[in-house]
Amino acid sequence: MNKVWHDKTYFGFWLYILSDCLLFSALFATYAVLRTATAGGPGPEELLDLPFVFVQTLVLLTSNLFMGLALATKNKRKVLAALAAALLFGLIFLGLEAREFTTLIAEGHGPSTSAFLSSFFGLVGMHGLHVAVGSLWMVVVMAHVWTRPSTELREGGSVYTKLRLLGLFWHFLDIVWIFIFSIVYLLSATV
Amino acid sequence: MTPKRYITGFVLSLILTCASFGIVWMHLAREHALISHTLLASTILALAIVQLVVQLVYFLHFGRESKARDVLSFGLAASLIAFIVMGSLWIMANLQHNGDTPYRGEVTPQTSND
Amino acid sequence: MSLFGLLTINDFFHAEVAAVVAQLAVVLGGIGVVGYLTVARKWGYVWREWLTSLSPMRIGVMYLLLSAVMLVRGAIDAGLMRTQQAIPVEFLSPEHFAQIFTAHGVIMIFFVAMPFMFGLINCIVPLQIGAKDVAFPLLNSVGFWLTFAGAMLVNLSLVAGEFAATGWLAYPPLSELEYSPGVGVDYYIWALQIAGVGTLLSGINFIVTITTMREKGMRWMQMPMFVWTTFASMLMIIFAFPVLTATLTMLSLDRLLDMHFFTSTLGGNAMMYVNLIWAWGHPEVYILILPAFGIYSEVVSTFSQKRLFGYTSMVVATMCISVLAFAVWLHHFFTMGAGADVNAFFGIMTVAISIPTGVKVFNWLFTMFRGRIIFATPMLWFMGFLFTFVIGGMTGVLLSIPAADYQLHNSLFLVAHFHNMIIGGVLFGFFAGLTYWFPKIFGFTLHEGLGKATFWLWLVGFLVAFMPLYALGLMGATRRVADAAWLPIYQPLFMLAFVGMLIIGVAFAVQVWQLAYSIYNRKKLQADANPWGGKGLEWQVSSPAPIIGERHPLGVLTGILSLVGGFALVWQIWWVVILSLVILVALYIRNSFTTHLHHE
Repeated sequence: MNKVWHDKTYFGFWLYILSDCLLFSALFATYAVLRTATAGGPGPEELLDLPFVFVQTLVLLTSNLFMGLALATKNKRKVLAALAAALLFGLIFLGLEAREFTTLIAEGHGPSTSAFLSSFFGLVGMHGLHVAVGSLWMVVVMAHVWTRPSTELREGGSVYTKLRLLGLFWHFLDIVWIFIFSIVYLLSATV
Repeated sequence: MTPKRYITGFVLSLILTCASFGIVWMHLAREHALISHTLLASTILALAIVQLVVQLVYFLHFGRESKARDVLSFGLAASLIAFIVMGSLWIMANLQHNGDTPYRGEVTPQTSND
Repeated sequence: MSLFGLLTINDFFHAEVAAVVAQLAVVLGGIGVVGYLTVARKWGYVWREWLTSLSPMRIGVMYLLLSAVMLVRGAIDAGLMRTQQAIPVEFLSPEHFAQIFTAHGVIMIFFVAMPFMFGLINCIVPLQIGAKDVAFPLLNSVGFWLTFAGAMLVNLSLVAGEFAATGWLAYPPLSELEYSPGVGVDYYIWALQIAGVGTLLSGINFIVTITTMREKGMRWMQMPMFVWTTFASMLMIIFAFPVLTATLTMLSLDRLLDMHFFTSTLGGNAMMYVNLIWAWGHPEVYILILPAFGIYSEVVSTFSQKRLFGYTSMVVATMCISVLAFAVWLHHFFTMGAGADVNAFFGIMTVAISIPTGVKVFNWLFTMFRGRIIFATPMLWFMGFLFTFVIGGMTGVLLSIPAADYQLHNSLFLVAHFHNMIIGGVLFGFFAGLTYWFPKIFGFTLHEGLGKATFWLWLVGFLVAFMPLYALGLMGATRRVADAAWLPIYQPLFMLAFVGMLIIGVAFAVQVWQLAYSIYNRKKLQADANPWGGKGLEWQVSSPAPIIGERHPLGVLTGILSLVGGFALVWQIWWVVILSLVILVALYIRNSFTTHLHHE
């Protein structure tokens, strides 16, 4: 148990998350600029499926709830169950997103069609990539929870720290998603 | 870090999300816009920011018990993001406008007939 | 999926003599190093004590070595360009010339200045705050090796293929696939993406170190100025580098997946690239200069034998600069077509940022006032900086007026200005720091007489090489022009600049001689803990400072895999990319189960 190490690590990861916010900001700004550059093709109002995205949003939010619940207990079994649920919903989210992407591409609205679509796939795809990496990380953390003693789940323990970092990452992704569904889907669709 | 906190955060986020989608759905469902686009955009953005705060507070325990360094670094990041994004949008819009509007005295190019 | 992607045997054959010479230099250099280590059976020692070392002192020295090696390459690039422009013989084709000025810029900024900075920071900051190590030692090693991998990727471009011929910021549409169909821009992108991750990780590392690992009792307003400026610089890194990463990612998506962020068709907007890249690029130059400013504060106080004047205002000025640095970026493209309101806003912000810098200059001057000046080499570097940097700063304020910039943008005036800042400001500062802290790092001082000679040669050489460029710029000479003797009226000034470059060449030679001589005579030049009478905590420990013995192979393995993967990305050898990535991820996952550093 090392609280000092935990504090340093959490702060370091917090800074990384802030840097990731800047990364997404650049992609958001680019989306905002290129939103109307549809090269004569259909724009967001025609292509983006709002009900679908609503479901996606609920799925990611639910995943985040389970992630939080995983942090709210010190019982190994409950932690694993909560993480498994979070992972399940995370994978469903990815599946839905993959579905959306492949549908768009199949209909001839792939990322190479126009600047608007490039910026859409770039921004939303970057978020999806983060979720995918986070999902892999979640599996690894579950392995840590399973194999280490329960004492490591207590505050300051190594597994506890890993859970907190993962939680920070996961919640950060949900926060980015708030802006994606608000700006990319909701606002673009109402031009 | 109680389950209650996360459930509260979840419910609040749910409400805010439904509000955003609801407003837009209503706006799109009508033939004539209920509110101006600017007001709509501001509302959606405001709801997004409120949900950001909700998730920061309820999921990430950001608040009075946070370390000063977390709050300060977050504030700095938020300010820089606002400046860079707003600045970029201003610059790009300005460039676009200058590209769209002909320069005073400019003659529209005529296609050659040769 | 081809076994070698786009790579063919033809890519190893270069058309121009200069390119072949460069290729041989890299190959022979590589063989030489590897060969020597093998023959002298030093691999074990090098692996244990250096490559896998987690000691910030060792990592710092490796950064310094990387910087020195890449400085040779960057300087040769400069020499080639200056020579072609001075003598009426075009021995470099425009294509090749373009690759040279691109490589020159990329190398000097990313693989000379940044590593030099991180080298000094690694060696000195932990000592100055009384910490045994940085916050995340393994991450520190990873950060270095990622930078190393990026540098080696740029060097490999000399061996196979080509480098970008787009200028160091690779503006589209020129950098898009349509106008740069070769692998040059891809080398550029992946070298910077890989090195950029390393830089970001190191930025985080030092913020956490400075924030949480200061010696008990050292309050924020008691930190040395070098620590403050490092802190400010690292903060800027955390917020600026992701913008570079995002922008280069979009460019790579344009090239690899036929997307249209910045292309000239299907709606792409090349100006958005320019906007974003400078939103990173301007903070970057402040990232470089602030630690140099910190060094000057240390040096001027030690060698005036007087407390630094205006510590509080120095700290405030530093933090103001680090924030304002994000508010001026449009001044790099006043001529791109924004209106008077936008240009005026950023012009005013640019003038504003010169104010805290001015505060610093006055504080340094007031430190010297009524001090008892010792004209040791570090102090000479500072005084040379003061003189040249103020000139460069004033030309900067001149350029910040949009109307004036319309005449001078992309002229040699601009080139003179930024070299003035980077050489007179950053490089002189790092030379001062290196000379000042050399005994702390290595246990002996550099020979003082040769140090003074180096300084004077550098100062005179720099002035003779770059002051003519101001005149040339005002006379209308444009940057990045490969033609020799394009206008007779320019010729005398190009010749003068060439002479200046030769003087700098001599300065380099003397520097190398100084190093060799000092190493040879290190027993005679042996230093005690505090050879200069400095007041910081770093002078309380022995010279050389103790090395901690922790080691871990993950850093160097990350570097190797990144280099291999980066090379494979350039040539689209997808199976190698995937394999490197999988092995890398597997190593990190395994590491999370096995490594227990500083905890439990």
